[in-house]
Amino acid sequence: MINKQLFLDNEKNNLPFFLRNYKIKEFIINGNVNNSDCQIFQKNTTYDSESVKCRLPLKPISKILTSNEQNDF
Amino acid sequence: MILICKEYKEDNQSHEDVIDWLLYRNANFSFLSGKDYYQNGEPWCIQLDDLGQRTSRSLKNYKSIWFRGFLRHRNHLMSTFGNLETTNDNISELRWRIGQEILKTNSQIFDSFGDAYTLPNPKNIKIDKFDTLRIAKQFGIETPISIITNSREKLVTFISLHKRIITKPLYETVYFKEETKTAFFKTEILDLETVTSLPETFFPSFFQAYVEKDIELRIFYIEGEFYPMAIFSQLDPKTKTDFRNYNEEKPNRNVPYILPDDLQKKLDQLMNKLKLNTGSIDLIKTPDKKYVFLEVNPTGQFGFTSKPCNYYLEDIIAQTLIKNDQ
Amino acid sequence: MNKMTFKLFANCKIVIGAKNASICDLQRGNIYSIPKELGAFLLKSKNKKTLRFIEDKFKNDKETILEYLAYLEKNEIGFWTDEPERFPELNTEWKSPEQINNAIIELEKLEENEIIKIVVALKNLLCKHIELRFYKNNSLDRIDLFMRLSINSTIRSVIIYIPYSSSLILNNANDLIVKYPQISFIILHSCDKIDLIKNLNPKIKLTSRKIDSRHHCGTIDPKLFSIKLPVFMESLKFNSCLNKKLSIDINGDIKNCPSMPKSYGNIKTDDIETTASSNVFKKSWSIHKDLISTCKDCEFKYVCTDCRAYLEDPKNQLSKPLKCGYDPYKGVWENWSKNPLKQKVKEYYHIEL
Repeated sequence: MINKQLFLDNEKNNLPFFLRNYKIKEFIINGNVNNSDCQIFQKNTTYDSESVKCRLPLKPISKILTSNEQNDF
Repeated sequence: MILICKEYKEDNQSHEDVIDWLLYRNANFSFLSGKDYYQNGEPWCIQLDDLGQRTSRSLKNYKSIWFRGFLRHRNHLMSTFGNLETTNDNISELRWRIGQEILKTNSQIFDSFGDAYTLPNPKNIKIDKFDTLRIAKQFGIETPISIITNSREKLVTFISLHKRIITKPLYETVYFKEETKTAFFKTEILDLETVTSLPETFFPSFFQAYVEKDIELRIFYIEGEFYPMAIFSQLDPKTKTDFRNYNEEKPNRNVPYILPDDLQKKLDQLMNKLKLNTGSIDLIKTPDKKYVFLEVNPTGQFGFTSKPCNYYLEDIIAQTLIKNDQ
Repeated sequence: MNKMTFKLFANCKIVIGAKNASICDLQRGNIYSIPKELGAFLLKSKNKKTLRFIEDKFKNDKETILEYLAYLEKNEIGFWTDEPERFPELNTEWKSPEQINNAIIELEKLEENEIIKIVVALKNLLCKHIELRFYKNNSLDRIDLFMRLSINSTIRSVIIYIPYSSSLILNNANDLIVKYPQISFIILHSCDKIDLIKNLNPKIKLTSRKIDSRHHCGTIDPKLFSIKLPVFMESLKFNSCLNKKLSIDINGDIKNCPSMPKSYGNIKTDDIETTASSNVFKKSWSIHKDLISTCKDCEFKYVCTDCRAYLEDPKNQLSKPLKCGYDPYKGVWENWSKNPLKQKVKEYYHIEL
């Protein structure tokens, strides 16, 4: 796919109409973030075969950090 | 015991939430995925002989089955197809045939569910969109005016009659990836210029008259109960045509809604006819207070409705599975 | 405009305080301060034909009210409808699938067998979120053991406070984060040379503050308000800090929170699960804001996560948090630590700042 074009553009009349309405998104891998995207797949018998993922709580567990230090909870 | 059928290694918070409720309510459950049959190298067999049909992998201890998926065709056999050197035509033919073989094989695997309770029944989830629209109409539910056509002339006539029209796939939506880029498909209003520049005939495609929206409704249905949510997509130009064109910074207002009784009855009849005991129903409420049915997704997402409306659908699903596990 | 009723969206909740009111937008995480009278008007006029209601009851304020409604409509806090009965209020039920939702462990001096006991208990209690605290000394072995044992559990996030000792600790922190994906943040505190250190890992935070004791907890800060639907609903009936919280302090005492004096047992001698499930342990979970003096008159009561450890009147369990500088009777925020009336209480708690 070159920029805003899709590989099937040239044949669009021979393909279903809905294939014309596309949007191309680019996923750029952030070179800065070294390891936080690393997902170690473990056979987790509680959730079974889910990738182990960090999910933040809805509210802070404690109030040690000041609002400047605090990330978005 | 409860069986949860889904693809492994997916990042799905809704599924984890339901599992949390099952754990909390001390349910016994286990997992199953197409991977267990196609990819992890464990031997199995289904035999049909004078004694009838039986499978080496007995699932008869599972009385209650939550069906959320089985096998991703796309990822499956990726390396195999990567290694084949032949014409495009052979590759596509092979892919299609294998897909069909998988469908037929899966059907026999699901047969070993026996008469366990299924939510929903995997045999009933591949519903036809156009059929569903017709059946909805039969029950007195309003649907958008729809055509399937290959003719420019017919399409032009359709546009001049209904002014704004949209196009959608008849089957499911799709995406294409190349390196870091992904192409998604979205619903858009047809541009007249595009239409007039079409050849006389083109690939048969599905078009619908655009339905004016006051609000959109996403309803989670489970065993005769309705959990509706109103989506105020019209307040944001980004989400006006397709609310799935999400505005991350300012999400659409999503609030609980109460459907009229008679509409609920008709929708219930529709779900029964489709043999679906659960699903996500999409409707549009027009400015003149009509409810127009768009589609139903038997394995649609429910977290999107559950959280903003505080419905606790995850617990309702868990309790439904537990209740039927006898 | 033929739509007759103005309504707030169900996820915009009005909270009336002593002097002001607030609208808590639970979907988008915003809070709007509004005059108390507007709050009262919105509650009274619910589901009625708004313009007629204004004509009948609030004729003198008509222009002001309409201005406010236009503001609310513009900000998508409310909308006009002629079917208000189709848009119900949110169900205020709150429940969660765990016996213990979060735990604070002062890990610094706990022995290996004690750590094993704790993790087993947390797993059985279906605990989701953990905070591990080291005040003065590190122990990477303890962290590693804890994390290793936490695999195959419902634990979904772990935040760790470690004192900064040398640049080596930064490398160790990076290694832990790679090894254990559930670690959400590592906070390296007591870091003097903070300007000289280069840290690229967004999961590691450095602070020069000396978090050398548990007394640093408990500050009420509006920037830390949790404006989220589940937390709001929880606040209506429960204490949103203590509810389903378990703490093991530095001596192994089982508490609601490390900063609170009451101990319900010790891990050396008592079973953690039994203790955490007992009615006496859970008693403080029901201290919701409407029971607490001053707080019950505050328009922020359901988004503030409270503190029952450091109180304005240490002898009154239902008194306002010490570290809150808001006066709902005046509608003014102050720096609580500069308030001379609170000085004596600070000494009582041995808080040195």
